[in-house]
Amino acid sequence: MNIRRDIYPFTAIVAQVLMKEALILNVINPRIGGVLIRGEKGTAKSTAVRALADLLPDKKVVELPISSTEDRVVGTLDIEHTLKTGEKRFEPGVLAEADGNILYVDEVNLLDDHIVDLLLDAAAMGVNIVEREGISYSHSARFVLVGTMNPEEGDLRPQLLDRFGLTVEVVGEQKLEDRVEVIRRRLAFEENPQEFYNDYRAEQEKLAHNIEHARELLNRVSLQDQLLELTAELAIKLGVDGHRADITIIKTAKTLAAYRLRTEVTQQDIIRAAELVLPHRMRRKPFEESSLDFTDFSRWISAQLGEVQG
Amino acid sequence: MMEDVLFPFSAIVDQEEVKKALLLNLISPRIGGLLLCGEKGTAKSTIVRSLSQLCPGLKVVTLPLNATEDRVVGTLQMETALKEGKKVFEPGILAAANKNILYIDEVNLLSNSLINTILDVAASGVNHVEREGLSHSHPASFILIGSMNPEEGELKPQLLDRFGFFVEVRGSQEPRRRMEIVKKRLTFEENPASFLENYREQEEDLLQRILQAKKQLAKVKISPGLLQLIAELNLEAFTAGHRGDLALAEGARALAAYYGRDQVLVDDIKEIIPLALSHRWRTPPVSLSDLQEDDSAAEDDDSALEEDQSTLQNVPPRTEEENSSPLSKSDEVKEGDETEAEESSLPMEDISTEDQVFEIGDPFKAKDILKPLVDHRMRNQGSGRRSKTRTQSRLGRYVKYRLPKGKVSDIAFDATLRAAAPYQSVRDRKGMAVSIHAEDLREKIRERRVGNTILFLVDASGSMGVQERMKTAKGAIFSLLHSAYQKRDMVGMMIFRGQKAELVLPPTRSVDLAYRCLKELPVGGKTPLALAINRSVELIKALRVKDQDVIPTVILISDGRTNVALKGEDPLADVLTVAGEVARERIQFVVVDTEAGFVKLGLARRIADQLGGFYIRLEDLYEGELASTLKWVLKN
Repeated sequence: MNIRRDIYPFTAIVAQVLMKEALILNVINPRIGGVLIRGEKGTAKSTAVRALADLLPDKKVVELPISSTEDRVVGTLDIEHTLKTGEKRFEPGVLAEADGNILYVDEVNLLDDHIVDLLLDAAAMGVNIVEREGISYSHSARFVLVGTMNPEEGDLRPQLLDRFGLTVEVVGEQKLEDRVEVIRRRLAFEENPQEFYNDYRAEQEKLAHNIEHARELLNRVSLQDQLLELTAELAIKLGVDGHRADITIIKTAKTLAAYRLRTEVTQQDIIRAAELVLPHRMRRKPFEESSLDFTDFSRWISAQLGEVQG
Repeated sequence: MMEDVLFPFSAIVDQEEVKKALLLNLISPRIGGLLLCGEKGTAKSTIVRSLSQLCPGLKVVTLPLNATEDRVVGTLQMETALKEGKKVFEPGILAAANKNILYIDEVNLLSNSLINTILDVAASGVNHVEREGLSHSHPASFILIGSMNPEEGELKPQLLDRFGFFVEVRGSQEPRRRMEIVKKRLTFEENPASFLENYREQEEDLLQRILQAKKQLAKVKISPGLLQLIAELNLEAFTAGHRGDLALAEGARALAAYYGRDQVLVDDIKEIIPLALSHRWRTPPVSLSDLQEDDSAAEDDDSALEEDQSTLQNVPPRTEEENSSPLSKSDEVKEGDETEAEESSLPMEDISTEDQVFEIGDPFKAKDILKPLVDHRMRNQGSGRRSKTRTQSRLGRYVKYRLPKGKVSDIAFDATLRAAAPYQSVRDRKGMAVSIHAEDLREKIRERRVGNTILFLVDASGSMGVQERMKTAKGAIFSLLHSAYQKRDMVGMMIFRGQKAELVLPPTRSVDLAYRCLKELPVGGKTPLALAINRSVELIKALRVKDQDVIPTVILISDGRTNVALKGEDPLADVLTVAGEVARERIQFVVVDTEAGFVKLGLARRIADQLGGFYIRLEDLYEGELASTLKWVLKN
């Protein structure tokens, strides 16, 4: 593993268990469909996403700045080449770079509408089809879409929301000792990134190894029909649109099992997966608080599972 | 590149209407295409894409949302023009789609000018290009398939009408079905090739059936009596133009061909009605209730049809096998209550296998056949009202180019190069490959969808505390907020009481913020209405400076009982004067009257009239009607 001095080590991020887990699950299984991280400023959202790069031997984190113009996103006519040679050539954009990688959009809720459309198009098909400016070109564009946003600055279009496999809600640490630890580590990192990294090298390597192992296990993870049926019932009860929620819960649960080095999906995997998959897919009613109460939620799921499993 | 193996058509669970509509279009492209409308994650795209695998040789040509006009219709081939000074046509997507399927995912998000061009070509079957000094035309007959999620905005009725068939796609609500869907998807992803292998035979059978039906189609006749029924049905449905008739007739022929018959039966037509007419159904000029109650007019229709009975008597009824064929599977596989309601009202089960001529009684009444569609159509109205605007700013999607007026800031390089290309042989290029003159310059035309900006102007004076007026008003505001956020509308809130009007929520897209702000709204004090209206207009003007594409609506929630004057004169006269002045400001006003009690002064209505705005009483503004009311207001 090559050392990235500029990147804060993933394993050095304090607490934020759910967020870290959601990211790792996507690294193990890119088919989960990415993750949207919602939360206030300064909660290590971007740090965590950027830190992923170090855990990925074969992938990089490609960033899509919100000021991107459409030609830079999908690619465009290479003007310089044309002027010099008189021949047309396709100049690849961010989507080409993101192929096989992680596409990260910070402040994804502020992205211009027509750029969102392009993302939706590419994410849906796994292909970027360019038919513009005299250019006709298509290339594979399979990426794990990771977005971060501060909900106070506006919401995301439901269609784009649905394209994110998982969502997590992050808040600043409320425990005093955790907050102190956050500051301590940050200062240590800024003072001497190299040394700081060395302190976490063993942990980084352990996690990378765990991810690798989980990837190998993934195809062998099995699942009882009972749990599958419960997931379907859950989706119907909660009135989610379409079938993407069910499919994603199952994929996520399987990946969770693999991450925990098991080959059988458990109740807990389903509950955890539902917690990551469902919140943004439920239709919100007027005068409801935006975030779900997860203790109630898991209790409810457990009760249902109890019934099913007799 | 694209994955070799696609999810096979025959492996898709349920969605029988979609499958039927697609197969019939393959059998007879004259049906005029298909629009799939439905929620996210219901395999809309998957099913369309799978067609290219089902029918070898058939391409599903995808039109991406970022397409520019030159690539859609075709354009001047730049390289040949540069090197040889020759003007050669370079074919675009419409040429590639010829004899294939043209698929537009999220068709409601496509630029208006592009969709119009495509629909014109689809209708004529010829792409005629006159641009950049070229004149060229080529055949372009294709099956147009669009898909959309209505949450993201609607398609205009005139565009809806251009699609032969329409299917509303919904997810399955049956746990077992959902399980099956998940299982199949996961098995497919694990090993696409072996998954496909399991469906090879089914795919092949289906293909053969389609090919046979295509051959059979030429032989399929439709009796004059049935043609009259079709016309009748379309009249009853108040469909515009004749596309409904054509789609219905052609769809019924394709269905008959699929069953290997050479005659169209009444049942074929009944089966096609939901596909061909549900998106064309319009509210008749008379009220809808006439449709259900007034039967006298229908009697004439019946007698007309009875005369045709003789023609129909020669037509044999459907066989048992036909009724249980894959295309009429929707009888068995019910998807939720709505489908069930539709199905049961189309009396198809009545058809027996005995040698009996089917009745021309109730089932023939166009009104009855269409009745279920009335409800269906109501549901379809949904929401979504974002407006597309040509924009002057450099934001937005590049759709086409134009000759610049004045200084060029947003150069369309491709168009500029094409304009310069043919002249290169006669120009002094000074060592460059291309020499560009000022007259070659072209600039981009961009389109941008702009959400509406909705400003709530809320009366928070003492009178709003009476009879929980404020509570009701809050409820109304919140449901508006809720629908607004999905459409990318900006929502702001200004409250007025005492001596001032205060912007408590600058226009934002965050419902969370708006919700919090709304919850804490205090009530009490006097009513400075004239001031409030002035302030709201100032705010809108300021927003326009920042973004000229803003489409503003001010929703004034008040009883109109103003008691703070602007200049110490009569408060009401002040308000009416101000209202008259701002009526010229290109701002849409909606006045929600909160006046309570027995003695009503009707002030809010006077103010609304003066503002040139829309008036509605708070009582009439319950959630269900809210969206449609606001939509109506924003449209007019």
